Amino acid sequence: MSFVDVTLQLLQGFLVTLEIFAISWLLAIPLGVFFCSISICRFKWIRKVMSVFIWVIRGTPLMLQIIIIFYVPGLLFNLPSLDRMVSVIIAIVINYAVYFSEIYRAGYESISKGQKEAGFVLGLSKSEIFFKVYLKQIIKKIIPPMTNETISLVKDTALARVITIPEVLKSAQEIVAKDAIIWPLFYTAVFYLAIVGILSIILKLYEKKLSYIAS
Amino acid sequence: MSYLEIKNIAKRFEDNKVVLKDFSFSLEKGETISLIGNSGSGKTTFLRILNFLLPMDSGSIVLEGKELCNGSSLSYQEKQKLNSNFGLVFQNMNLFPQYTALDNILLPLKSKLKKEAKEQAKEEKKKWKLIYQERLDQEMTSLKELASTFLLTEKLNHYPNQLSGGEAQRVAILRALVLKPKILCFDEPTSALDPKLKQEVANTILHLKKVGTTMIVVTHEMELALAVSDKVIYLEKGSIIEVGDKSILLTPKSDKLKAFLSLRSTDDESKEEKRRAF
Repeated sequence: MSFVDVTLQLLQGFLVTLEIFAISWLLAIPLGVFFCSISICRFKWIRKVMSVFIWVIRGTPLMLQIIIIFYVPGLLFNLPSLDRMVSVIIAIVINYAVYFSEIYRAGYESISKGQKEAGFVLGLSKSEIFFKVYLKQIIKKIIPPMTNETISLVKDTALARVITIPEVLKSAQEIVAKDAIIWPLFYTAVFYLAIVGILSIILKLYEKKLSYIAS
Repeated sequence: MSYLEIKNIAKRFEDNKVVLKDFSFSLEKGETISLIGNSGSGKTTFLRILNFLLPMDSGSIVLEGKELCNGSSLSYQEKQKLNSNFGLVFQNMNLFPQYTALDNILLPLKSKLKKEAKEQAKEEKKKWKLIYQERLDQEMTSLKELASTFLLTEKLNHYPNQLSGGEAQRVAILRALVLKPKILCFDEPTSALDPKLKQEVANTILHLKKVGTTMIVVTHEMELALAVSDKVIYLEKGSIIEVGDKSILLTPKSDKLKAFLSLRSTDDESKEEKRRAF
Protein backbone atom coordinates (compact mmCIF):
# COMPACT_ATOMS: atom_id res chain seq x y z
CA MET A 1 0.00 0.00 0.00
CA SER A 2 1.29 3.42 -0.88
CA PHE A 3 1.66 6.26 1.60
CA VAL A 4 -1.34 8.06 0.04
CA ASP A 5 -3.54 4.94 0.29
CA VAL A 6 -2.59 4.43 3.92
CA THR A 7 -3.23 8.11 4.68
CA LEU A 8 -6.66 7.99 3.07
CA GLN A 9 -7.63 4.83 4.95
CA LEU A 10 -6.37 6.23 8.24
CA LEU A 11 -8.21 9.50 7.57
CA GLN A 12 -11.45 7.54 7.36
CA GLY A 13 -10.67 5.99 10.75
CA PHE A 14 -9.68 9.39 12.07
CA LEU A 15 -13.11 10.79 11.16
CA VAL A 16 -14.66 8.05 13.32
CA THR A 17 -12.22 9.00 16.13
CA LEU A 18 -13.27 12.64 15.80
CA GLU A 19 -16.95 11.69 15.82
CA ILE A 20 -16.58 9.65 19.02
CA PHE A 21 -14.54 12.43 20.64
CA ALA A 22 -16.82 15.32 19.66
CA ILE A 23 -20.11 13.65 20.63
CA SER A 24 -18.70 12.26 23.90
CA TRP A 25 -17.11 15.57 24.89
CA LEU A 26 -20.22 17.60 24.15
CA LEU A 27 -22.43 15.21 26.14
CA ALA A 28 -20.02 14.62 29.04
CA ILE A 29 -19.69 18.35 29.82
CA PRO A 30 -23.38 18.92 30.74
CA LEU A 31 -23.73 15.46 32.30
CA GLY A 32 -20.74 16.34 34.48
CA VAL A 33 -22.61 19.46 35.67
CA PHE A 34 -25.56 17.23 36.62
CA PHE A 35 -23.32 14.77 38.49
CA CYS A 36 -21.57 17.67 40.21
CA SER A 37 -24.87 19.17 41.35
CA ILE A 38 -25.73 15.78 42.91
CA SER A 39 -22.29 15.59 44.57
CA ILE A 40 -22.78 18.95 46.29
CA CYS A 41 -26.52 18.72 47.00
CA ARG A 42 -27.66 19.09 50.60
CA PHE A 43 -29.09 15.57 50.97
CA LYS A 44 -26.44 13.41 52.57
CA TRP A 45 -27.74 10.04 51.34
CA ILE A 46 -27.90 11.25 47.71
CA ARG A 47 -24.31 12.46 48.04
CA LYS A 48 -23.36 9.02 49.42
CA VAL A 49 -24.99 7.22 46.46
CA MET A 50 -23.16 9.55 44.08
CA SER A 51 -19.82 8.96 45.78
CA VAL A 52 -20.28 5.18 45.40
CA PHE A 53 -21.14 5.68 41.70
CA ILE A 54 -18.01 7.85 41.24
CA TRP A 55 -15.91 5.22 43.02
CA VAL A 56 -17.19 2.47 40.70
CA ILE A 57 -16.68 4.45 37.50
CA ARG A 58 -13.24 5.75 38.46
CA GLY A 59 -12.18 2.42 39.90
CA THR A 60 -12.77 0.32 36.80
CA PRO A 61 -11.08 0.55 33.40
CA LEU A 62 -12.91 2.40 30.65
CA MET A 63 -12.28 -0.57 28.34
CA LEU A 64 -14.20 -2.82 30.74
CA GLN A 65 -17.06 -0.30 30.91
CA ILE A 66 -17.32 -0.31 27.10
CA ILE A 67 -17.45 -4.11 27.07
CA ILE A 68 -20.07 -4.20 29.84
CA ILE A 69 -22.35 -1.67 28.12
CA PHE A 70 -22.08 -3.48 24.79
CA TYR A 71 -22.38 -7.11 25.95
CA VAL A 72 -24.15 -7.20 29.33
CA PRO A 73 -27.71 -6.22 28.24
CA GLY A 74 -27.67 -9.19 25.82
CA LEU A 75 -25.97 -11.66 28.16
CA LEU A 76 -27.97 -10.92 31.30
CA PHE A 77 -31.34 -9.75 30.04
CA ASN A 78 -31.43 -11.27 26.59
CA LEU A 79 -31.88 -7.81 25.13
CA PRO A 80 -30.57 -6.95 21.67
CA SER A 81 -27.12 -5.38 21.85
CA LEU A 82 -26.85 -1.64 21.51
CA ASP A 83 -25.29 -0.19 18.39
CA ARG A 84 -21.48 -0.37 18.76
CA MET A 85 -21.01 3.35 18.31
CA VAL A 86 -23.79 4.12 20.80
CA SER A 87 -22.26 1.73 23.37
CA VAL A 88 -18.85 3.35 23.11
CA ILE A 89 -20.27 6.84 23.36
CA ILE A 90 -22.43 5.95 26.41
CA ALA A 91 -19.42 4.42 28.19
CA ILE A 92 -17.10 7.32 27.42
CA VAL A 93 -19.73 9.95 28.27
CA ILE A 94 -20.48 8.40 31.70
CA ASN A 95 -16.81 7.85 32.47
CA TYR A 96 -15.72 11.35 31.51
CA ALA A 97 -18.79 13.03 33.02
CA VAL A 98 -17.68 11.57 36.37
CA TYR A 99 -14.16 12.96 35.98
CA PHE A 100 -15.50 16.31 34.77
CA SER A 101 -17.93 16.46 37.71
CA GLU A 102 -15.06 16.06 40.17
CA ILE A 103 -13.19 18.88 38.42
CA TYR A 104 -16.29 21.11 38.56
CA ARG A 105 -16.77 20.26 42.24
CA ALA A 106 -13.17 21.13 43.07
CA GLY A 107 -13.56 24.39 41.12
CA TYR A 108 -16.78 25.25 42.95
CA GLU A 109 -15.33 24.46 46.36
CA SER A 110 -12.20 26.49 45.67
CA ILE A 111 -14.17 29.75 45.48
CA SER A 112 -14.03 31.46 48.85
CA LYS A 113 -17.20 31.76 50.91
CA GLY A 114 -16.47 35.48 51.08
CA GLN A 115 -17.41 35.86 47.41
CA LYS A 116 -20.90 34.53 48.13
CA GLU A 117 -21.20 36.75 51.21
CA ALA A 118 -20.06 39.79 49.24
CA GLY A 119 -22.69 38.99 46.60
CA PHE A 120 -25.34 38.74 49.30
CA VAL A 121 -24.50 42.00 51.08
CA LEU A 122 -24.35 43.76 47.71
CA GLY A 123 -27.93 42.71 47.02
CA LEU A 124 -27.30 40.14 44.28
CA SER A 125 -29.87 37.37 43.87
CA LYS A 126 -28.83 33.72 44.24
CA SER A 127 -28.77 33.25 40.46
CA GLU A 128 -26.74 36.44 39.98
CA ILE A 129 -24.25 35.20 42.57
CA PHE A 130 -23.90 31.88 40.75
CA PHE A 131 -23.81 33.11 37.17
CA LYS A 132 -22.05 36.46 37.60
CA VAL A 133 -19.78 35.83 40.58
CA TYR A 134 -19.06 32.09 40.71
CA LEU A 135 -19.28 30.75 37.17
CA LYS A 136 -16.51 32.76 35.49
CA GLN A 137 -14.17 32.11 38.42
CA ILE A 138 -14.94 28.39 38.28
CA ILE A 139 -14.41 28.22 34.50
CA LYS A 140 -11.03 29.93 34.83
CA LYS A 141 -9.97 27.49 37.55
CA ILE A 142 -11.10 24.35 35.75
CA ILE A 143 -9.69 25.02 32.30
CA PRO A 144 -6.21 23.51 32.96
CA PRO A 145 -7.55 20.21 34.40
CA MET A 146 -10.30 20.13 31.74
CA THR A 147 -7.62 20.51 29.05
CA ASN A 148 -5.84 17.46 30.48
CA GLU A 149 -9.05 15.42 30.57
CA THR A 150 -9.98 16.50 27.04
CA ILE A 151 -6.60 15.32 25.77
CA SER A 152 -7.08 12.01 27.60
CA LEU A 153 -10.51 11.69 26.01
CA VAL A 154 -9.04 12.06 22.52
CA LYS A 155 -6.62 9.21 23.25
CA ASP A 156 -9.23 7.05 24.99
CA THR A 157 -11.33 6.97 21.81
CA ALA A 158 -8.81 4.31 20.73
CA LEU A 159 -10.51 1.94 23.22
CA ALA A 160 -13.47 1.76 20.84
CA ARG A 161 -11.51 -0.86 18.90
CA VAL A 162 -12.32 -3.47 21.59
CA ILE A 163 -15.79 -3.72 20.10
CA THR A 164 -14.36 -3.44 16.57
CA ILE A 165 -15.23 0.15 15.79
CA PRO A 166 -12.96 1.22 12.91
CA GLU A 167 -11.37 4.26 14.53
CA VAL A 168 -7.91 5.36 13.46
CA LEU A 169 -5.89 2.84 15.49
CA LYS A 170 -8.15 -0.04 14.45
CA SER A 171 -7.80 1.06 10.82
CA ALA A 172 -4.01 0.97 11.20
CA GLN A 173 -4.14 -2.49 12.81
CA GLU A 174 -6.17 -3.74 9.85
CA ILE A 175 -3.57 -2.41 7.41
CA VAL A 176 -0.81 -4.04 9.47
CA ALA A 177 -2.64 -7.39 9.42
CA LYS A 178 -3.56 -7.21 5.75
CA ASP A 179 -0.37 -5.79 4.21
CA ALA A 180 2.24 -6.93 6.72
CA ILE A 181 3.65 -3.43 7.22
CA ILE A 182 4.10 -1.93 10.68
CA TRP A 183 4.66 1.80 9.98
CA PRO A 184 0.94 2.75 9.59
CA LEU A 185 0.55 1.93 13.27
CA PHE A 186 3.20 4.52 14.21
CA TYR A 187 1.78 6.93 11.65
CA THR A 188 -1.48 7.16 13.66
CA ALA A 189 0.45 9.20 16.24
CA VAL A 190 0.52 12.09 13.75
CA PHE A 191 -3.28 12.20 13.70
CA TYR A 192 -3.54 12.16 17.50
CA LEU A 193 -0.83 14.80 17.84
CA ALA A 194 -2.58 17.04 15.32
CA ILE A 195 -5.94 17.03 17.09
CA VAL A 196 -4.38 17.27 20.56
CA GLY A 197 -2.25 20.19 19.35
CA ILE A 198 -5.24 22.06 17.94
CA LEU A 199 -7.33 21.48 21.09
CA SER A 200 -4.46 22.58 23.35
CA ILE A 201 -4.04 25.82 21.41
CA ILE A 202 -7.79 26.59 21.50
CA LEU A 203 -8.07 25.91 25.23
CA LYS A 204 -4.88 27.86 25.96
CA LEU A 205 -6.27 30.85 24.06
CA TYR A 206 -9.51 30.60 26.02
CA GLU A 207 -7.57 30.41 29.29
CA LYS A 208 -5.63 33.52 28.25
CA LYS A 209 -8.85 35.32 27.41
CA LEU A 210 -10.05 34.71 30.96
CA SER A 211 -6.92 36.08 32.61
CA TYR A 212 -7.49 38.97 34.98
CA ILE A 213 -5.13 41.46 33.38
CA ALA A 214 -6.27 44.79 32.00
CA SER A 215 -5.39 45.41 28.37
CA MET B 1 -35.44 57.73 69.46
CA SER B 2 -32.01 57.04 68.00
CA TYR B 3 -31.24 56.42 64.33
CA LEU B 4 -30.06 52.88 65.02
CA GLU B 5 -30.89 50.94 68.13
CA ILE B 6 -29.35 47.59 68.88
CA LYS B 7 -31.25 45.91 71.67
CA ASN B 8 -30.07 42.97 73.74
CA ILE B 9 -28.56 40.92 70.95
CA ALA B 10 -27.47 37.44 72.01
CA LYS B 11 -25.69 34.84 69.94
CA ARG B 12 -24.30 31.42 70.71
CA PHE B 13 -22.46 29.25 68.21
CA GLU B 14 -23.28 25.58 67.68
CA ASP B 15 -20.70 24.48 70.24
CA ASN B 16 -22.71 26.53 72.78
CA LYS B 17 -19.99 29.16 73.00
CA VAL B 18 -21.47 32.56 73.87
CA VAL B 19 -20.33 35.09 71.25
CA LEU B 20 -22.60 38.02 72.10
CA LYS B 21 -24.44 38.59 75.36
CA ASP B 22 -27.03 41.28 75.96
CA PHE B 23 -25.36 43.51 73.38
CA SER B 24 -27.02 46.94 73.12
CA PHE B 25 -26.09 50.38 71.89
CA SER B 26 -27.56 53.24 69.94
CA LEU B 27 -26.22 55.39 67.15
CA GLU B 28 -27.33 58.77 65.85
CA LYS B 29 -27.43 59.74 62.18
CA GLY B 30 -24.02 60.86 60.92
CA GLU B 31 -22.22 59.35 63.90
CA THR B 32 -19.38 56.87 63.75
CA ILE B 33 -18.99 54.17 66.35
CA SER B 34 -15.96 51.95 66.73
CA LEU B 35 -16.09 48.48 68.19
CA ILE B 36 -12.78 47.44 69.68
CA GLY B 37 -11.66 44.34 71.48
CA ASN B 38 -9.47 41.27 71.19
CA SER B 39 -10.01 38.58 68.59
CA GLY B 40 -13.02 36.48 69.54
CA SER B 41 -14.69 39.30 71.44
CA GLY B 42 -17.72 39.22 69.12
CA LYS B 43 -17.11 42.39 67.06
CA THR B 44 -17.16 40.74 63.66
CA THR B 45 -20.03 38.46 64.68
CA PHE B 46 -22.07 41.55 65.45
CA LEU B 47 -21.33 43.05 62.01
CA ARG B 48 -22.32 39.76 60.39
CA ILE B 49 -25.59 39.74 62.35
CA LEU B 50 -26.28 43.36 61.43
CA ASN B 51 -25.73 42.53 57.75
CA PHE B 52 -27.91 39.40 57.92
CA LEU B 53 -25.02 37.04 57.23
CA LEU B 54 -25.68 35.36 60.58
CA PRO B 55 -28.96 34.98 62.47
CA MET B 56 -29.10 36.20 66.05
CA ASP B 57 -30.62 34.11 68.84
CA SER B 58 -32.52 37.01 70.40
CA GLY B 59 -32.61 40.79 70.47
CA SER B 60 -33.67 43.33 67.92
CA ILE B 61 -32.36 45.81 65.39
CA VAL B 62 -34.33 49.04 65.10
CA LEU B 63 -33.55 51.53 62.35
CA GLU B 64 -35.28 54.91 62.18
CA GLY B 65 -37.82 53.66 64.73
CA LYS B 66 -38.74 50.61 62.68
CA GLU B 67 -37.88 47.13 63.93
CA LEU B 68 -36.00 45.33 61.15
CA CYS B 69 -35.64 41.99 62.85
CA ASN B 70 -36.07 40.36 66.21
CA GLY B 71 -34.42 36.98 65.83
CA SER B 72 -37.22 35.32 63.86
CA SER B 73 -36.13 33.41 60.77
CA LEU B 74 -36.24 35.28 57.47
CA SER B 75 -36.19 34.20 53.84
CA TYR B 76 -33.26 35.07 51.56
CA GLN B 77 -35.30 37.82 49.87
CA GLU B 78 -36.47 39.27 53.19
CA LYS B 79 -32.94 39.30 54.54
CA GLN B 80 -31.66 40.96 51.39
CA LYS B 81 -34.35 43.62 51.46
CA LEU B 82 -33.50 44.49 55.07
CA ASN B 83 -29.81 44.24 54.36
CA SER B 84 -30.08 47.00 51.75
CA ASN B 85 -30.12 49.43 54.69
CA PHE B 86 -26.54 48.45 55.49
CA GLY B 87 -23.31 48.30 53.58
CA LEU B 88 -20.39 46.12 54.59
CA VAL B 89 -16.74 46.49 53.68
CA PHE B 90 -15.00 43.19 54.41
CA GLN B 91 -11.61 42.80 56.02
CA ASN B 92 -10.24 41.07 52.91
CA MET B 93 -12.31 43.24 50.54
CA ASN B 94 -13.90 40.27 48.69
CA LEU B 95 -13.65 42.03 45.35
CA PHE B 96 -14.67 39.84 42.41
CA PRO B 97 -11.35 38.96 40.72
CA GLN B 98 -12.87 38.44 37.27
CA TYR B 99 -14.15 41.99 37.00
CA THR B 100 -12.34 45.32 36.72
CA ALA B 101 -12.69 47.78 39.58
CA LEU B 102 -15.42 49.58 37.62
CA ASP B 103 -17.34 46.38 36.92
CA ASN B 104 -17.01 45.37 40.58
CA ILE B 105 -18.80 48.61 41.43
CA LEU B 106 -21.29 48.44 38.58
CA LEU B 107 -22.39 44.82 39.04
CA PRO B 108 -24.39 45.40 42.27
CA LEU B 109 -25.37 48.91 41.22
CA LYS B 110 -26.87 47.69 37.92
CA SER B 111 -28.62 44.83 39.70
CA LYS B 112 -30.18 47.26 42.18
CA LEU B 113 -31.18 49.79 39.51
CA LYS B 114 -32.72 47.03 37.38
CA LYS B 115 -34.90 45.83 40.28
CA GLU B 116 -35.96 49.37 41.12
CA ALA B 117 -36.64 50.26 37.49
CA LYS B 118 -38.84 47.19 37.06
CA GLU B 119 -40.89 48.09 40.14
CA GLN B 120 -41.21 51.71 39.03
CA ALA B 121 -42.16 50.64 35.50
CA LYS B 122 -45.02 48.55 36.88
CA GLU B 123 -46.41 51.51 38.80
CA GLU B 124 -45.94 54.09 36.07
CA LYS B 125 -46.61 51.72 33.16
CA LYS B 126 -43.41 52.71 31.40
CA LYS B 127 -40.68 50.63 29.79
CA TRP B 128 -38.28 49.57 32.54
CA LYS B 129 -35.26 49.78 30.28
CA LEU B 130 -35.82 53.51 29.72
CA ILE B 131 -36.09 54.17 33.47
CA TYR B 132 -33.05 51.97 34.10
CA GLN B 133 -30.88 53.71 31.51
CA GLU B 134 -31.85 57.14 32.79
CA ARG B 135 -31.03 56.16 36.38
CA LEU B 136 -27.78 54.48 35.34
CA ASP B 137 -26.63 57.62 33.51
CA GLN B 138 -27.31 59.69 36.64
CA GLU B 139 -25.49 57.20 38.85
CA MET B 140 -22.51 57.05 36.49
CA THR B 141 -22.05 60.80 36.85
CA SER B 142 -22.00 60.63 40.65
CA LEU B 143 -19.85 57.48 40.50
CA LYS B 144 -17.20 59.30 38.47
CA GLU B 145 -17.17 62.11 41.02
CA LEU B 146 -16.83 59.65 43.90
CA ALA B 147 -14.05 57.77 42.09
CA SER B 148 -12.20 61.02 41.68
CA THR B 149 -12.64 61.85 45.40
CA PHE B 150 -11.34 58.37 46.26
CA LEU B 151 -8.37 58.83 43.88
CA LEU B 152 -9.50 55.86 41.82
CA THR B 153 -10.23 57.42 38.42
CA GLU B 154 -7.06 56.00 36.87
CA LYS B 155 -7.62 52.59 38.41
CA LEU B 156 -11.18 51.84 37.36
CA ASN B 157 -10.11 49.65 34.43
CA HIS B 158 -7.70 47.63 36.54
CA TYR B 159 -8.46 44.17 37.87
CA PRO B 160 -8.28 43.62 41.66
CA ASN B 161 -4.95 41.76 41.31
CA GLN B 162 -3.48 44.90 39.75
CA LEU B 163 -4.48 47.17 42.63
CA SER B 164 -2.55 47.92 45.82
CA GLY B 165 -4.19 46.89 49.11
CA GLY B 166 -5.26 50.48 49.77
CA GLU B 167 -6.72 50.90 46.29
CA ALA B 168 -8.58 47.59 46.53
CA GLN B 169 -9.99 48.62 49.91
CA ARG B 170 -11.14 51.96 48.47
CA VAL B 171 -12.81 50.14 45.57
CA ALA B 172 -14.58 47.91 48.12
CA ILE B 173 -15.72 51.02 50.03
CA LEU B 174 -16.92 52.68 46.82
CA ARG B 175 -18.74 49.48 45.79
CA ALA B 176 -20.65 49.48 49.08
CA LEU B 177 -21.21 53.24 49.02
CA VAL B 178 -22.82 53.52 45.57
CA LEU B 179 -25.70 51.39 46.83
CA LYS B 180 -26.45 54.26 49.24
CA PRO B 181 -26.72 52.27 52.48
CA LYS B 182 -28.07 54.09 55.51
CA ILE B 183 -25.23 52.71 57.63
CA LEU B 184 -21.83 51.70 56.33
CA CYS B 185 -19.98 49.00 58.27
CA PHE B 186 -16.27 48.28 58.15
CA ASP B 187 -14.73 45.04 59.34
CA GLU B 188 -11.08 45.67 60.19
CA PRO B 189 -10.63 47.93 57.15
CA THR B 190 -6.92 48.53 57.68
CA SER B 191 -5.70 45.36 59.35
CA ALA B 192 -4.16 43.82 56.23
CA LEU B 193 -2.43 47.01 55.08
CA ASP B 194 0.98 48.54 55.62
CA PRO B 195 1.19 51.92 57.45
CA LYS B 196 1.10 54.04 54.28
CA LEU B 197 -1.93 52.22 52.87
CA LYS B 198 -3.59 52.31 56.29
CA GLN B 199 -3.38 56.08 56.16
CA GLU B 200 -4.96 56.15 52.67
CA VAL B 201 -7.95 54.10 53.88
CA ALA B 202 -8.21 56.09 57.13
CA ASN B 203 -8.37 59.30 55.05
CA THR B 204 -11.19 57.81 52.98
CA ILE B 205 -13.17 56.91 56.12
CA LEU B 206 -12.50 60.41 57.51
CA HIS B 207 -13.83 61.89 54.29
CA LEU B 208 -17.00 59.79 54.62
CA LYS B 209 -17.37 61.02 58.20
CA LYS B 210 -17.09 64.63 57.04
CA VAL B 211 -19.88 64.18 54.51
CA GLY B 212 -22.14 62.77 57.23
CA THR B 213 -22.04 59.00 56.60
CA THR B 214 -23.25 56.94 59.54
CA MET B 215 -20.63 54.27 60.17
CA ILE B 216 -19.80 51.31 62.36
CA VAL B 217 -16.11 50.46 62.37
CA VAL B 218 -14.70 47.25 63.80
CA THR B 219 -11.00 47.77 64.30
CA HIS B 220 -7.86 46.78 66.13
CA GLU B 221 -6.21 50.04 65.18
CA MET B 222 -6.47 52.53 68.01
CA GLU B 223 -5.23 55.37 65.80
CA LEU B 224 -8.07 54.75 63.36
CA ALA B 225 -10.61 54.51 66.18
CA LEU B 226 -9.34 57.77 67.67
CA ALA B 227 -9.44 59.53 64.33
CA VAL B 228 -12.91 58.54 63.15
CA SER B 229 -15.04 57.69 66.20
CA ASP B 230 -17.72 59.66 67.95
CA LYS B 231 -18.38 56.69 70.22
CA VAL B 232 -16.30 53.69 71.18
CA ILE B 233 -17.40 50.34 72.55
CA TYR B 234 -14.93 47.97 74.14
CA LEU B 235 -16.05 44.35 73.99
CA GLU B 236 -14.72 41.30 75.75
CA LYS B 237 -16.11 37.78 75.36
CA GLY B 238 -19.30 39.12 73.82
CA SER B 239 -20.10 41.65 76.54
CA ILE B 240 -19.72 45.40 76.54
CA ILE B 241 -17.08 46.32 79.11
CA GLU B 242 -16.88 50.04 78.48
CA VAL B 243 -18.69 52.49 76.24
CA GLY B 244 -18.23 56.21 75.80
CA ASP B 245 -16.88 58.86 73.50
CA LYS B 246 -13.43 58.43 72.01
CA SER B 247 -11.79 59.89 75.11
CA ILE B 248 -12.11 56.46 76.73
CA LEU B 249 -9.25 55.40 74.50
CA LEU B 250 -7.03 57.97 76.20
CA THR B 251 -8.45 57.77 79.72
CA PRO B 252 -10.05 54.35 80.14
CA LYS B 253 -12.06 53.70 83.27
CA SER B 254 -12.21 49.92 83.40
CA ASP B 255 -9.12 47.86 84.19
CA LYS B 256 -9.89 45.54 81.28
CA LEU B 257 -9.81 48.37 78.73
CA LYS B 258 -6.65 49.73 80.36
CA ALA B 259 -5.02 46.32 79.99
CA PHE B 260 -6.20 46.01 76.38
CA LEU B 261 -4.89 49.44 75.44
CA SER B 262 -1.52 48.94 77.13
CA LEU B 263 -1.14 45.63 75.32
CA ARG B 264 -1.98 47.31 72.00
CA SER B 265 0.54 50.10 72.58
CA THR B 266 3.24 47.54 73.48
CA ASP B 267 2.35 45.66 70.30
CA ASP B 268 2.49 48.81 68.21
CA GLU B 269 5.85 49.81 69.72
CA SER B 270 7.39 46.40 69.03
CA LYS B 271 6.00 46.47 65.49
CA GLU B 272 7.50 49.93 64.97
CA GLU B 273 10.86 48.74 66.35
CA LYS B 274 10.83 45.72 64.04
CA ARG B 275 9.93 47.94 61.11
CA ARG B 276 12.80 50.32 61.89
CA ALA B 277 15.25 47.44 62.40
CA PHE B 278 14.20 45.98 59.05
